[in-house]
Amino acid sequence: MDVTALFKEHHAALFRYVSRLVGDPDLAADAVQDAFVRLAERPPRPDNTRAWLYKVASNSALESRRTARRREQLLEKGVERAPMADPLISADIALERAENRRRVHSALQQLSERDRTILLMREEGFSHKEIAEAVATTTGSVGTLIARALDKLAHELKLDQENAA
Amino acid sequence: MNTTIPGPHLTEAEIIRALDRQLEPTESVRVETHLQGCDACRTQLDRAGLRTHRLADLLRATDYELPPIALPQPDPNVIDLAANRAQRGPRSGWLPQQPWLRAAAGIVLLLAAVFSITPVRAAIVEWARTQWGRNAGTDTAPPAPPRAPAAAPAPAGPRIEFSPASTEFRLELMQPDVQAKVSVRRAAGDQAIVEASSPDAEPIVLTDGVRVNNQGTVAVTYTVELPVSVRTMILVIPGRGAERISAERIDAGVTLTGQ
Repeated sequence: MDVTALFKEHHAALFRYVSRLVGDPDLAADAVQDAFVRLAERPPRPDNTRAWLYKVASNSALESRRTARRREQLLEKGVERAPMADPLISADIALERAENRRRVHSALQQLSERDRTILLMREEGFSHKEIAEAVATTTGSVGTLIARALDKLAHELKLDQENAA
Repeated sequence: MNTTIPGPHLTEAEIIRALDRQLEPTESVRVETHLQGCDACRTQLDRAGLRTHRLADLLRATDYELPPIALPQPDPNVIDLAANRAQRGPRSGWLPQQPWLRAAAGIVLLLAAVFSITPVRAAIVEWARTQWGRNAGTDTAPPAPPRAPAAAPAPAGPRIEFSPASTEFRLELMQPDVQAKVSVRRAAGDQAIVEASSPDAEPIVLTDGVRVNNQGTVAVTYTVELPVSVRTMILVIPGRGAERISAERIDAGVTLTGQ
């Protein structure tokens, strides 16, 4: 198993996915690092390494957050990191992005852990079969679960009003 | 404006599967044909597509900066082990590596083969019985009861784990006529677990619980484990209404049938 190639291929997307899932970049970075360490030391069967990495990293991040919640407090105090690929930007833009990030994070947190996983895995391009395996349901149920989770998120984020505008 | 709509309207699941290109080939023809003739479903599809794109844009715009992380280095012992294995070549399947272990396995297999010959087995059993009577000094040793044939293992059905959205868990038992059995008890962890005994069963996760079905041909046994966060279970059986089951009863374990 070529860990270097897997790292190059999946690291950025995995970090993006886990940070969206838990809303905490530091915690996501730790969880992603843990997942690759486990991959190097105890590699899984090679049939679906990508899904395995996502599962290990998500479990690690969610477990860390459940037991500690330390990063949540930092977020509540308004500590922000620069967005991805974000060089020097004006204060107005930075403020708008920070506000958007709070809004999206807050809306995602209104969903159950399962709905969040389903929507974010879909966003990463996983098939419905892979999503079903990750959340322990049947492939046929995934379409319905996505539709309902999307409904909830659209309501929270007022996506339909923005689309109409 | 369309005057004839081909077939029933698309479900929300079909619309999502169409957007995600996850339709089964048989489904695909029906969905495409229907969309060509149904303005309402095309509107639904467009709306779901817009929501999906808008959400993707929002997520991308608010992603965090990728932190610099060095590639983790595996334990040197692991690398040595992998190198040794590579030098030895692929392992020969189930055979043990050590010569003495191979010899021992061969002897065991040979004895098992000899014992499997019926006359030899009968002779050995008879000899053992004689020896038992003599050593015990009496012939009062009760004859061994005939062994019941081993029960065939129950076929394993689907297993679903999920986090219930509420402290009230809804269990829909769509079982009006036959003998399905549902055992409810407490789970060890914080997930609800639903297991079915038949691979034909397909329990469906609801927003606040689960629906179990029996197709009427096979009696299915379901095991439902509920986390401690669930304080009340609402049992729904068609024709019998809903019944609330308290945390104390769940703790004690409940067995339900469709009759």
